[in-house]
Amino acid sequence: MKPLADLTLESVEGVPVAALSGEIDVSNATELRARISELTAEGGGGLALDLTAVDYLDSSGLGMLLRVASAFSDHGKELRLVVEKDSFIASLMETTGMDGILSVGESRDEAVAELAGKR
Amino acid sequence: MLGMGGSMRSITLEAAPRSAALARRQLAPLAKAARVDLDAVLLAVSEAITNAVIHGYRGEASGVVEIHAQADSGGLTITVTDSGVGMSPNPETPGIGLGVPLMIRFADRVTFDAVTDGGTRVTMRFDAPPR
Repeated sequence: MKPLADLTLESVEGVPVAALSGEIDVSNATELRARISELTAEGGGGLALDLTAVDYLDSSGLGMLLRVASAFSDHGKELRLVVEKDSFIASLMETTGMDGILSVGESRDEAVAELAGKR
Repeated sequence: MLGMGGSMRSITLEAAPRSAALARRQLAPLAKAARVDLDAVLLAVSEAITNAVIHGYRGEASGVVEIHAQADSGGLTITVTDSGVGMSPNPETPGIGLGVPLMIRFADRVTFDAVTDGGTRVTMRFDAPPR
């Protein structure tokens, strides 16, 4: 079966940028959290996590994001999420109050610039 | 297993995490035809199935989840039924306790019933906008 979601990692101006695409639910949230942690285990600073190509995300996905952010915080690192304006995920973040707990923006470039500025 | 009759759909899926995505695929056409909020339906149904798998069966694929969807002129009614142990808390979950609140938020009406021979039935109603 084709994976529900894909995760890619690149470096933009020295800042790690991960991009998730596809669907995030109970079947893959735990695995994705482990992969993000693994990919970003080395290096300090932070990570821009681009969710603009995510088609579906539910409470399991929100839990995954919260746990990744918490783990980053424990290690003095910062997670910045990039979410498309007026998307269902943006609405979900607002409805659940996650937009007040997690660092959420609409622009990958802004997330990269902010993280680069803190190095 | 899939049964179809007009604007009705009945699906029986293994009580496994991957079943949430399978249900989303199968219910999307009916939700579109019923003119209800597709994102709301997919989220609420997925949360109900996740609850059945995580809380009802505790992650063990030892049962099934039955989904019944019925469209009518005013919208869509979906029931998700499991034969698990009920909706008791399970600390081994990737979620953060938002499943039920999201079902309540995104469906127009939700009821939770204990099934007489064990398990839980969630009934969700999604209203279509007036024509």
